[in-house]
Amino acid sequence: MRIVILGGGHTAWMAAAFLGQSLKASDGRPLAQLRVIDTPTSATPRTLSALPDLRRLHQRIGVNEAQLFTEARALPFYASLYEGFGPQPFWRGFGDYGARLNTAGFHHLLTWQALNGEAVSIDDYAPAVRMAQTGRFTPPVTAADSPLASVAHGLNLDAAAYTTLLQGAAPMVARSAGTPVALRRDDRGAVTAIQLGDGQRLEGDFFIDADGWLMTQLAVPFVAAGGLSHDRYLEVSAPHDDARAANRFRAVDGGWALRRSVVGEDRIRWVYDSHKLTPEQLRAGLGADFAAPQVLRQGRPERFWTGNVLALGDAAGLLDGVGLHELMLIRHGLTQFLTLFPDRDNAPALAQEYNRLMTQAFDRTADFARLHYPEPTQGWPDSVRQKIRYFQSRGHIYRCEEETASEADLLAVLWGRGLRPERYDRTIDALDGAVTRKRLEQMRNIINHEINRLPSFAVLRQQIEQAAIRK
Amino acid sequence: MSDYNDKKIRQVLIVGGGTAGWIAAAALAHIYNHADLNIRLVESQEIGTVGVGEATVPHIRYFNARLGLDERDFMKRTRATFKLGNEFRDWGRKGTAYAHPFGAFGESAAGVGFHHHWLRARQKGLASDIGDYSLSVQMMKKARFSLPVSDPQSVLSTFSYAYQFDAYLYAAYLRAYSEARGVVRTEGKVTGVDQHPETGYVTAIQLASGERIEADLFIDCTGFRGLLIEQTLKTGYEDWSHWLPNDRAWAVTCDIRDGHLPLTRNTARESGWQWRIPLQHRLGNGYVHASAFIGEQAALDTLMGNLEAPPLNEPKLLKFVTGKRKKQWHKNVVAIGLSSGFLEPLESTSIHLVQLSVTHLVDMFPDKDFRDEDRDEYNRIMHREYTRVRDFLILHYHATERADSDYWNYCRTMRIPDSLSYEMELFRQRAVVVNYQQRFFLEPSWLAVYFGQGIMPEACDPLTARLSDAELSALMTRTKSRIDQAVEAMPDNRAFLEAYCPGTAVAERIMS
Repeated sequence: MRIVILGGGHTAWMAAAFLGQSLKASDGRPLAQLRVIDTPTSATPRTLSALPDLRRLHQRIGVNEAQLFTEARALPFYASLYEGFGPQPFWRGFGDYGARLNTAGFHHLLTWQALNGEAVSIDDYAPAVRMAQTGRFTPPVTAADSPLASVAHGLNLDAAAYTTLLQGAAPMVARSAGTPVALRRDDRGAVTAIQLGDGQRLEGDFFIDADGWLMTQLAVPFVAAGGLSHDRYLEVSAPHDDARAANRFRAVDGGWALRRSVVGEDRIRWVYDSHKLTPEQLRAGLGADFAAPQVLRQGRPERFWTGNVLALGDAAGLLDGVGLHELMLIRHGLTQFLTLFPDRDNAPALAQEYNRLMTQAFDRTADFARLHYPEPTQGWPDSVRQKIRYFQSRGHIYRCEEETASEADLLAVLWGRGLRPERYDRTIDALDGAVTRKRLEQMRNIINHEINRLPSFAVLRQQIEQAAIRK
Repeated sequence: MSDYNDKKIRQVLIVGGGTAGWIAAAALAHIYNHADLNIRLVESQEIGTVGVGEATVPHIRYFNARLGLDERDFMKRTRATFKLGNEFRDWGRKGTAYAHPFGAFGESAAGVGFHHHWLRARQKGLASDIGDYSLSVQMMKKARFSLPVSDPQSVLSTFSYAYQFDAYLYAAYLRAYSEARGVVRTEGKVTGVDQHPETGYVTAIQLASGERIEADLFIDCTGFRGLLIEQTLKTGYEDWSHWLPNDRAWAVTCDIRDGHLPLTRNTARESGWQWRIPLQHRLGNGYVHASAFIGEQAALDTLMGNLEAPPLNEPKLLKFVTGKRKKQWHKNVVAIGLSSGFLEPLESTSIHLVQLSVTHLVDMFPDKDFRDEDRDEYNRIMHREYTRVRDFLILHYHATERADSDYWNYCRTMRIPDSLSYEMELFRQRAVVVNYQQRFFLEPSWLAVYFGQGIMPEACDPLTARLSDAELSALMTRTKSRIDQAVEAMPDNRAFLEAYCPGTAVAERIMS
């Protein structure tokens, strides 16, 4: 089996490293020949955010966190702050929000307190949020009974440095460079080779499009993500201005800015609606100049896997990034592809199943993004409306098949945007109210106690940055 | 908050006892505070219960544990036996048999599911029957039993179990449990149902004694007739009998001789199938059949001709239509049990579906406003559960080579739901079982039936090539011998039962 990966950025090399490490026999013998066609990529800086579960991909390809810090300019974050997305700023942290006292989800206890007229802060029960707020960090906690056991961190990465690191993790992958100019197909329509500008012809049995060129050649229709209006983005660098392991989103009318830290600097990404904001307004807002904004087309191809071509990364759809999902979707696509890995016969049911799963995963991810915004005049899809309606009505977190957001993610955003359930789970009425209050207080105190013992993130960041400079 | 308290439902009335009614009563009484939520149950001894679901699936253990039931006490009082799975005879082809165990087939190796390795090994002549690689199947074959362990390193963690019991006794057991927790039982026949003149909501029921019982929420456990959900609210029924044409069952019990096997046996017959369920003190038997293909008398003759021992009671005929209520929760009535729908007991799901209904009702428990969203979400979830069990049942009938009767010709050639053909095609092409995040029967169950009924995929996962032939052969040998050793060390099922619940299997028989 010869697999050709088209694309020169992080997506292509994530695929190369992941498949290179996965398509091996137990004695190390390769089960497929892999080749990357390195296509030219934009030189402008780009920052990526990895959710905690990208750790599994890094383990698979043999990349450890220290390498990510020193070579991919990675810095960790425990939570993201969203300002201007709801009546009050809110946090979305990685890990648990409180602990259940009976069968009812934890947040019903908060609703119960709120409906009793008591002041409630959801952040007090989310250790990851408390870590971000107070500027702490923790090495991974292994004791299952620790209140910090569920705490995880994401990573902000520099795309170019990350790509170089991934290249080093894919030594078994052959590499060509060039610009694709033509496609060869056999009489059944399967792609057999890509012709490059310099005349090279690269043959394969299966092709992964991490560039977008193949999807254009195959004329796969595009499905726009309804109601998501941001259509431009740009990114600039700035010095660090905060020493906490936190990403910060700030919404303005017509868009938002995300400020996140990588080794040595912060990156500010503006994502906006060109009908509402002009580059001049942005320049004034930033107090700095920037290269031309890039066009963002939110939506996905109608099919991700067509014949013997699989689209991945930007070629497999784009969203505005408010949910920090982009690397998650790449990892998810790679994992599903491996589960449904084809042989040369390429049974058609595999592409069908992959497309069914990834269409749902993409659409649910788009729904999660939609939850951050007010409903547009044309209305949200039913899947979003239900999420809002059920939460508002009774704190029920409505989950569809192939939901990509966790229950905690959905809770953080729904609660954060100011939705307060009108009812709580009635099983709480069977608990002793005074005891319940006491246990909630204990939960808060234990988390605070643990957090206060932790070292400051500023110290860790300094160590990481010094180590990165020495490299 | 006072608004909240005003709107709280204070009165729940369960109409109909039986297994469903008392499961609902026990679960609600356990979860809610009696002072806060008054639960009543009305039943009539004149109306017999169907007593379905003598065989169960492992989830009942978690349900019982939540209620805090002691397993030995529960088993003793319901004359329960252990069940490791279902055995199917004559399904894919006459003369064949396979087991659908509550357990795994092997363990994944080199990141690839065991069944893919098995398919490759089979092609190379390195593997025997798939059941040889399942601990529970071997326990079933050799009639051994011991309790599973939770240590994932141990082969004893690769199986689960359920029970076979007397559903009447289970209902009686839960009745005692419920009454001890404040559930008030009223004996009486319902003679009338009062509805709100505008909304049509049920407001009260009238009893033959003249008593009128009001409630906020009604749980209809009146069985097939659906006194509230159908006879009163005319909710409508989604008929699935074109896919599952069985509509009758003859049921009879007989003495149990030497058949203390930890399994339920379902034998396909000319126009249906026959169950064999061993309890501590007797065997439950029944012939589920389709009246379009066989007459009542012929069906009865088939059942009686296939009994292992003389019958202990008069055979009873049950009539049903496979399908489900269009809305299992309509207005202020939630149908639970046979009133909500019927799926034949081929995979012993009846009691499970009752317990699932109660669990989801608790999740979506309404207040006096009876908001649409509570009902809609409940109905959405239950519809999904029912259709997914339905598809799994249809597979048993459709995946067959049998051509020895009109019945089997119909089942083999019928048009099946798109959702099922999609799954079967994916399995045929590449041995993939669709991995829905929410469904009851998971991959091992589908594998058991696919392989057991002769659906062999054209290809397996090409990543099985991660193992060399020598490694593959070693994997097969090692898996099998690990299982064989574990089974050899286990006691006989009957001996285990006798030790676990003394005075059951043997003593009760002598007494009766």
